[in-house]
Amino acid sequence: MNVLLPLSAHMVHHRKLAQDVALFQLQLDDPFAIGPSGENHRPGQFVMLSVPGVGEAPFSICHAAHIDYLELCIRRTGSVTRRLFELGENTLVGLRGPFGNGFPMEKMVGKDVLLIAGGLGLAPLRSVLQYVLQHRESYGRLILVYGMGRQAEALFREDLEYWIDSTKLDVCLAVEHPAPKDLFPADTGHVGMVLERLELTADNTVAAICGPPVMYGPVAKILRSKRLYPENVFFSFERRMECGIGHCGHCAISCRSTCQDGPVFSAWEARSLGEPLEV
Amino acid sequence: METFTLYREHLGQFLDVCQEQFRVQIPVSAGDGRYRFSPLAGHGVEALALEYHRTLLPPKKYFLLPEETICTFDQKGYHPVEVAEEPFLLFGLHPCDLHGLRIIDQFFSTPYADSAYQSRRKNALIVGLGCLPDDKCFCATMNTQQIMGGYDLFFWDLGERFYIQVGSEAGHGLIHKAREMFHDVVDEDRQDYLETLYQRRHLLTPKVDVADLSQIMEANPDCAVWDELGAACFACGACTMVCPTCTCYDIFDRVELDGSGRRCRQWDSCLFRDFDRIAGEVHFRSDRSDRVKNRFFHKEVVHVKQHQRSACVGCGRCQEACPAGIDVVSVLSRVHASCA
Repeated sequence: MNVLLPLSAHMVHHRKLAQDVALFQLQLDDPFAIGPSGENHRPGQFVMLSVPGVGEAPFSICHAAHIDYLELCIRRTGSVTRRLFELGENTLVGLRGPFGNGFPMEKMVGKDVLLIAGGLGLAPLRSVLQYVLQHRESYGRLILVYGMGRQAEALFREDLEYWIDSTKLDVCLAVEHPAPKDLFPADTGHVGMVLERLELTADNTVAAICGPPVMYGPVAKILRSKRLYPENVFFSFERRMECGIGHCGHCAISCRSTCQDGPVFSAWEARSLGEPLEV
Repeated sequence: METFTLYREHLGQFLDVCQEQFRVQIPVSAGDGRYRFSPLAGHGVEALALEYHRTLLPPKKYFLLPEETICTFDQKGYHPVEVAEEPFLLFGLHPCDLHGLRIIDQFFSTPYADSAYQSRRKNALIVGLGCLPDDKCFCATMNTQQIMGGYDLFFWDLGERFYIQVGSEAGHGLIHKAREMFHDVVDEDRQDYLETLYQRRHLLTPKVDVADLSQIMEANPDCAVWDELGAACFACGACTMVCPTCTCYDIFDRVELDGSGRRCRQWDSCLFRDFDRIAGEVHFRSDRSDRVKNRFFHKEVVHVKQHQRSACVGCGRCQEACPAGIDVVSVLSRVHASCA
């Protein structure tokens, strides 16, 4: 089998989530086809999505729920995504994967789960969140800290509404620029400010973080001050994945493949990768 | 181990027999004292350069093609392409290149097999050739001057005859296609072979001390040598192209006017500035020194961690190719000295 050969798929539906961000639903042409790993995806894994004639790019899977489609939350930012936003429904695309390690859901069992999302970083963490909700009794507290510039940029609004109302998890929003007509209750500022005042059980909390790189250093510092264990803090890294199988070399961080060994690394691992994320 | 001898004047005949079944590739002169692997069919056996030290490109060019099509696409979807299954024989690989091949064989089999590489590889017979070093060889430093296995046949030049080691059933089969040309090894052959090894051994001495090199590099990642190298390096990527163990590739689409096209891959280099660029023009190793350091760390630290051996095989191609005159032996020795 050629792992580099995309499976033909169709983009069946897409809907706008925010300015330049949309949710794409994809379906493999062969309903019995399985990805190279031969199993369903784990939260935090990604797929390689091909747009014929433009190329291929990595996108994390944003759901854990078993639905009829593969859902990817994508921002219009590069050549592949620009073309993707122009495509009509029911157009041909290619899919490979899922790839990567994903978040260690088994390591989180019995522990409080703290999810820290910045902007588009909510997409992969949504799959962790859904997974925890599906296996609710296996986990302790579930806390989502979600930071954004403006509430207009909030992704998955229906989900957010439901999560905020739900007793199954705590949701804290951090909005840097509040506006008078904002829908959701939120703190003004960045995720760090919310994190500072959270009461956490240091030795029983696992954190999963995804967001813009500038967020990682300060978040790591706060979690360290809260005495979380570096082996219980997980960051998802964005790099240039091309092959997805650890061969092409582009996504290497300190010569480790983000596409195979990552994209999720613990703060302890990040230290050895030369990333300044000591927790 | 099964061994034979072959008289020098029969080598051409033997290669002709091989040619009946395999596309035979041999080292030939490329002018200016340089060599390349090339088809025997286009040159004739008289072009065989048994005395060559290193070819411009390593044998990886036969397995990981400089550019190839991964698949095609059209309005109906993505379609696989057949990898040509024509069997071929690579004649004359030195131990350093056999080590290089062994390293990338393993690389392209985990965690997933690279199907194009593997299908070419299983269609190839490898014939090794004993060698003597020139001033750029540093196999003895990297401990790759010899190899056990990793070939189908191995030829040692004893002057008027070759001492031949059979490394696989396929190699055995090859011998038996022309069994009448080969002679059983007698004591005198064995003595001459050992004498050749003895002579060669004395030409092959380590050029620099690389003891604890990985440990030294890891303990001092901010060594000043990397900045000096960053200032000297043109980031042209020549060293990575000619390296027998550099395997990075880029994936891209070539499109026809009707919207159909080919997904291709091409040799790429971690020294190129855009190598790690992601959407939004974000770079992670925008400094040349970071990229040079990354390459050396991959060869000398991370690969050692993963496979208990350096990924440098001491072939000397990179220093021959480098327009800035960066010499890997002196880099290793400077890192070793200044970080110690």
